Amino acid sequence: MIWTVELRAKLGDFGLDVSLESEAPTLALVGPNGSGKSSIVRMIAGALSPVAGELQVAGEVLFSSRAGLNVAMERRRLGYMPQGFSLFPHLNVLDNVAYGLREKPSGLSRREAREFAKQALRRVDSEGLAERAPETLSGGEQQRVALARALAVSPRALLLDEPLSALDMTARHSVRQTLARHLASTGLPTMMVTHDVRDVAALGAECWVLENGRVVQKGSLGELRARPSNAFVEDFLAAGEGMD
Amino acid sequence: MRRKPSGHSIGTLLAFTLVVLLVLPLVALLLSAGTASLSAGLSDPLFGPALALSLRTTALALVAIVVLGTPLAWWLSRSSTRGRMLVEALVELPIVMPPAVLGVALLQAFGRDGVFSPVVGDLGGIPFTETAVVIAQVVVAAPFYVQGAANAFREVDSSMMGVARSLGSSPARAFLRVAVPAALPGLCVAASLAWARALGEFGATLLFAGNLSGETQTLPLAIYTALQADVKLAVVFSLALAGLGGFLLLLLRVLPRKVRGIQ
Repeated sequence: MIWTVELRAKLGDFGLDVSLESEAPTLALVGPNGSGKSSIVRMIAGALSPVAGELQVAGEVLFSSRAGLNVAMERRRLGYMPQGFSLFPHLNVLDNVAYGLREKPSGLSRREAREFAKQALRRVDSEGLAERAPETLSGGEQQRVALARALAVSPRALLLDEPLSALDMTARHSVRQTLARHLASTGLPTMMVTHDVRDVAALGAECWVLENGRVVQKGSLGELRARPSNAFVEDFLAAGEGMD
Repeated sequence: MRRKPSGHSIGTLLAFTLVVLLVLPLVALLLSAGTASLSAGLSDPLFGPALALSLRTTALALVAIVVLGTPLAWWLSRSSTRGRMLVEALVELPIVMPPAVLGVALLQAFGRDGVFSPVVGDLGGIPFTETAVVIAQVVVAAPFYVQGAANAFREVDSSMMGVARSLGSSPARAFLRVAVPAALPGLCVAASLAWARALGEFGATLLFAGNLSGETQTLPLAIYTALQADVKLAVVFSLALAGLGGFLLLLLRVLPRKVRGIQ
């Protein structure tokens, strides 16, 4: 099983109770705002701790309340891209991408890390940005760099929290294609939070539909279209019709 | 027809008035010090030791403030507990307390017959020493650093720290490699304010460390001593202190930009 996500958590007044497994390499978490999508991603990343549950990604147990195991965020080897761009403002693009390569387990020298970082930038068609400061980049460029940085450390999986939502239409389309191309060529397990059905279609993702901290439907876009479980799913699917 | 003054011009006038008020005493200081009295003042036997002591003690105080205050500022910027507000209020207390009160309080804490001497033993050796000067400066200046540094850290996006952790950094490494450099300009401004406050510290130092020439007499205390005998000398000392403060304040604000340029 690529994904085993069994989480129970209390975040203020909000309760999360999710239990799902999937063999699909690419998953899309969809649902209205406040349904718990980002919380799930943050718990898998290790930024939030659940009260109880079991988390397994690509064969590695990351959290198990039964076994008393909670792998530290820095040892999970997950490429995490939160909402926004989150590039380090004090480092140029190349050093942003090289950042993780200098940490364990890679532990490369600065020169080696920068060499690898150049290759990672090349893979997302951004090698020309290497010496630029993050604040001089467009939204699309920032997101490509953030993607290169997450991929540079060879993560076991990628966690993307609304990676395209802050981009304009053109940049969104272009980054989406880069992402789809990369995921298709590497087969890297990926979980993405999105509000856009076109992201789901482009990545061929399996959808997990959330509502009030519970998964209310799971399936491919075709399965969701055949039997939408609620009004949100109908609206979500309808929003993509005739676009792109 | 007479035009009514616009909001913009009233605002400019008010702002200009404040700037004049702030700059005027410094200009007066500059004008009242002649070239002859300047060179005589700078070679006065009081000046050299007081300047050296001020530089030495404020440097030590600044190191102590940054080392002790940075983790506290980080915690204040990230904590959402009820205790945070209490700690924040306690840290800021010295800002609103008269320095003389702090001096008396320090004497009560570290003096020979201080309230803690039965518990911590003989700390009576601290008052009226160089160590006392540094402690007084730390107590009055640290709140300025902690407050400014906490504000600078609040600007550091939590998700950025999350990304650093996901890329393999331990919490401490993420703090040192991301939070501190990202907040560096704000940290430098906070440090420069604290340093300026320590350099100008007078009341608490006078009461807790005394005014012993060559031992605890910092430049502000030397100004006070000079003022009682020779106003011209006090003017020269004041000018030197103001110039030094202005120079280092500028340096600490330019430095982070240079550091970023290198990276």
